[in-house]
Amino acid sequence: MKKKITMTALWLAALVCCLLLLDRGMRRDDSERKYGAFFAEKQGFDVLFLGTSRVLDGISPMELWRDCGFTSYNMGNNSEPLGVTRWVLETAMAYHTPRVAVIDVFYVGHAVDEAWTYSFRHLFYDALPLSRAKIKAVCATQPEGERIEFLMPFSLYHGRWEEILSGQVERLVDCEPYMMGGEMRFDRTARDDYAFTDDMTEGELPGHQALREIAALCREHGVEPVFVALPGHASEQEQMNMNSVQRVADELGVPFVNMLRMGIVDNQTDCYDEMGHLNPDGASKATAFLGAWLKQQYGLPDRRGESAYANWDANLAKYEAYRVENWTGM
Amino acid sequence: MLFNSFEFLIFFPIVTVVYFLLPGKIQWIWLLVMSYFFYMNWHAEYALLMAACTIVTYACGRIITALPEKKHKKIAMWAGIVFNIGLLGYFKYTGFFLDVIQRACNLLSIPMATPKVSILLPVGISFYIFQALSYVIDVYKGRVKAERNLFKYALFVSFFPQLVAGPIERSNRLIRQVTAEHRFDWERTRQGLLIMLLGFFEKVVIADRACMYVDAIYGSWIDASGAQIALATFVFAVQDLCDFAGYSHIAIGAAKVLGVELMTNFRQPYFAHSVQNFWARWHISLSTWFRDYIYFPLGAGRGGRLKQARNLMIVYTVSGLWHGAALKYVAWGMLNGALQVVEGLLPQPKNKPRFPKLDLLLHILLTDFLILITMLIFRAGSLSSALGMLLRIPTAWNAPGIASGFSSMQALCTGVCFVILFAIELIHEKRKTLTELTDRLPSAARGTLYLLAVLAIIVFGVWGPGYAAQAFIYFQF
Repeated sequence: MKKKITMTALWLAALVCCLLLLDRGMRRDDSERKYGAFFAEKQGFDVLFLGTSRVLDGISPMELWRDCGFTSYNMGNNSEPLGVTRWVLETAMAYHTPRVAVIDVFYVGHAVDEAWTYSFRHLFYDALPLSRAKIKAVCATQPEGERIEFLMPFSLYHGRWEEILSGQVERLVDCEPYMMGGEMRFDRTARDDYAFTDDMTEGELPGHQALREIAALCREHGVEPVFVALPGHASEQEQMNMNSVQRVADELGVPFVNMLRMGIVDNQTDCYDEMGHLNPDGASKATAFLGAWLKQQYGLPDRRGESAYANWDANLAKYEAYRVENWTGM
Repeated sequence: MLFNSFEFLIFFPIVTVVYFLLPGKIQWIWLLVMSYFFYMNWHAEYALLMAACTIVTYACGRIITALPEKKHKKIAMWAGIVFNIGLLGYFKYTGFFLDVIQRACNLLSIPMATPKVSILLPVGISFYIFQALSYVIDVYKGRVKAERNLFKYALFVSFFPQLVAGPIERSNRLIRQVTAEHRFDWERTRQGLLIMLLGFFEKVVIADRACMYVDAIYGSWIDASGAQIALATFVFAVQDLCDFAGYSHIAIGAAKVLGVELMTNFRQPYFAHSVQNFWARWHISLSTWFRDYIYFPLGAGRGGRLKQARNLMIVYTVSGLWHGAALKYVAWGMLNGALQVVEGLLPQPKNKPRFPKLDLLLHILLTDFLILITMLIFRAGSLSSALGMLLRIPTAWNAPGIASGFSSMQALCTGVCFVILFAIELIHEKRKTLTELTDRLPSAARGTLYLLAVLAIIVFGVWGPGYAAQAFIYFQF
């Protein structure tokens, strides 16, 4: 009897190990490349950037390290409404508490259920280890009946053998772990028909309440919140929505850096995707501006040269090599 | 609660562990409660229907036993039959009969509009009603004694492993087993789990993947080539077997773990050498039910070939109707009956064949060919679609066809699984079991083999949010 119990326990343990290995092997690796370095980092971060693809493509943590010397992670994700950003921040703070949290407000007009694309939900949740924070976030952002696949991604990815064996694996984001969450899209498109407006959307937008919750959450953890509108094309309605954040920022006493019409980037050379996103040149300009502003406002430390941050220099070298290899001459 | 769901993977171990922790005398009460819980997971209110069926047939059994006069006993039996058939008829056939009446009126130019009804078919109703009916008839015939305890009888009707898609058990086998005390047994559990593993392989790896191709071709058969329809029909034949036999294996294995032996429901049907032999191997519990409660009472083969042919046609027409409320099922059943009638009329060879194995192989292939035709009718959207498809197979064999969405990798996976299934069926046909074969291996190799089998089912199985959940085909019956 005792032998049978032992053998059964060993068999079950082997099964669990194999399942864990399969889980690793069958998963899409986008999520790991995008967020893996965040969970692996031991030293923590001075700044976290959160929000949509505008921040994902528009801010480079490695350039902030090179030029300003503070550490940061880009948690930006495609089509992420602020209602989700609030949960991304809460789960992120279960691992690292930054000095400053910079929130991109591009999707302030979008509600959680209408905007967040299915594959980008997985992009965030897949790399997030199973924890109370993750369960809370999944329950808050995913409809009932669709939660298991985010808590147990293997239930979705066990069928990927076909994709893996046929070698037809498509990437969701152009991230590498050494980019600290940032993405580089090497493309360039110009747009001339662009008009600015200073008008604000009246009334409450879906993201306003999320911004209040984000501010409260930050203050609860001793984190300085900053709202930011990054440069790039936005429709008149989108501009008005982002402008309306000023009202909420004033109400909360949170700084709002509206870079929409500061003339930081060149519409002819610094954008791609019909000027919807910044290319590496545009990202360098926006990063340099915001980095200098953050450094000045919050007196962020210069950690360059510290032995504990040697890996940041190694990552920077990889980042610059990658950028030069793919971008020079375009 | 589907067998191939997360819920069942949690439900079954809990039921089993608690079952064996409980004192033997109350184990059956736990099974009864859990069986109703299992059933109520679909539509809680339909448990009332099952309870009504249980109470009425239980009462009929008790009344039959209590009454001294045979004619009164007969009235009690018929009361039970009429009530249950009425229940089945209302839920399953109301729409069908109204449709038939409407068609007839249209044909005869009678101005009448029958009402449109939409009645949700309770899961497994055909199965538990047939099981309960067999009890009433057996009590009347004196084959079994009426069960005194209503709740023990209720467990016979509702025993969760075989509740919604069989095997349709008989009371003389099942009541005694489900209400007996059972101790945990390692060997029995191992065997039960292996049978369940085979069932999951058949269901989630083969049937549900094959279903993708079959659905794509049958859903757009008008544009499909004849070759595609033929291939899809072959694939459906395997899918149907794996779907239903898979369910039966999971049911038999789960019951075995709990100490209950259910009857074999499938015995390598595609190795049958005649249509009659096919039906002795396919859905055995239903075939024997029809044999014992319709075919024999009608007189079986007594009274000459004509009467036997009539009886066969009645049985298979009823079988067709049992499978579904649509003309295609009636046609399917009648065709199966007709094929057996023709087989009975064929002259028997006087001499032994010179090459018996080749002769057997040819008979098997011919039988499978005939069964494939019946399968096409069974799977088609309607009788007219079935006829259209049968016509299209030879006339549009080389037509351009349609994109099935089934990749070459999926096709390869399905093909490999078909080969594995064929090997398993061959082993069973040789009167051996997988357990017997694996028992010859050293324990470490055996454990590794089981582990690989589980992992293969998990990886290659069609389950989870990436796939649409496929219910078992026979649930709709």
